[in-house]
Amino acid sequence: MTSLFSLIIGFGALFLLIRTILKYRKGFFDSGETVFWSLVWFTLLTLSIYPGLSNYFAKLLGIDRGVDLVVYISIVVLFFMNFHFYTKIMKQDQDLTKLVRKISKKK
Amino acid sequence: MDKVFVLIPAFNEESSISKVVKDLKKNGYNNILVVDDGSSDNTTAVAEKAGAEVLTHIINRGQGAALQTGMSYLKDKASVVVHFDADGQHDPKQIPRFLKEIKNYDVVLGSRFLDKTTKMPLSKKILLKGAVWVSWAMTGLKLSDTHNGFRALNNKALRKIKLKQDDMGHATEILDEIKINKLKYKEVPVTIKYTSYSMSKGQSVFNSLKILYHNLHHKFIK
Repeated sequence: MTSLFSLIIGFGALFLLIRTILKYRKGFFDSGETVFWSLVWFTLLTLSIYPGLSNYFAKLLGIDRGVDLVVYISIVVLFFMNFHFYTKIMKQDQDLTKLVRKISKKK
Repeated sequence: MDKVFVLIPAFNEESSISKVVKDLKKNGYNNILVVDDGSSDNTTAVAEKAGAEVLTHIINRGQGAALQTGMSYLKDKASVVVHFDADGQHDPKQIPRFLKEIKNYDVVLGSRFLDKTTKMPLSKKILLKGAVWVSWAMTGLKLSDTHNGFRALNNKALRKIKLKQDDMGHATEILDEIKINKLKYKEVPVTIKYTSYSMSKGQSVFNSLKILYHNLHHKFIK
C-alpha cells in the first residue's frame, strides 16, 4: 500500500466509523449491527495505519502477502452480503404479495 | 359442494376480458372469478360489467401471484377450479374435457401437443418443447406440454398447491407441487388460438430464460 492510498483508506474508514456511531444514536442501527460495522471499519482503520499487520495475519493463514488476505476476505464478505440482501429482498417480495393478496380480498 | 369456478388472472386485458367472460357465461359457466393483477387500464370495471366477480391487486405481482390469490379465495367455495386465460386463447367449449377427467384426477392439465389442432410458430414450438424438457428435469414429471395456462384442479389440489412463485415460473412450480403432494394428474388435448393480440402478450425468449432462472433459484436456493 502506498502512503497516499493508506491515507484515503484510513480517512474513509474513520468517516464510516463515525457514520455508524451516528446511525446508532439515531436508532437506525441496533447494538449488534453497530458492533459489527464498527469492527469492520476499525479493522480497516488499523490496517491503514499499520499495513504490516495484514502480512502477519496472512503468514499465519499460509498466504504470502497481506494484501492478498485483505482481498480474499473482502470477496468472501461481499458474496456473503450479496446473498444476505438477495434473500432478504426475496422475502420482502413474498411479504408484499401476501399483503396485496390480503387487500384484494378486503375490497 | 359441487361448484365449478373459472379463474382468470388478468393484467391490462380491458380489450379482451369482456368477450372472454361473456363467452364463458354463454357456455353455462356462471361462477367466474377474475383476478385483476394491478392493471393500469379498466380491466376490473369491464370484467365486473361483463358479470364476473373480481379481486383486484393494488399493484402488479405476476400471474402466479394472481392465480394463488384466486385459489386461496376459492378453496372454501369451489369443488373444481378451471384456470383460464384472459386474452381469448382458450375455448370454453373445451372445459367439459377437464370436468370429465377431474372426477378421477386431482389435476387435469391441458396439452397443445396431444393432437395437432393448435397452430403455432416454429419458434414457439421449439421454446415450449425446451420448457417440457426443463420441467421434466426439474420435477420428474414427463408431460407433453408445460406452461399451458388451461388446467383444472379439484378441491384437494386447491388446498395442497401453494404457489410461491409470483411470475410465470408458477407453471413449473405447479408440476413440482403435484409431485410433492402426490396428486393424481392427467393431460387432455386442448386447442390454443394464437392471435396477434395473444402473441403480443406471450413469453419472449428473454422472459423464458428469466423464468428458468427463477425456477432454478426457487428449487435450489430457497
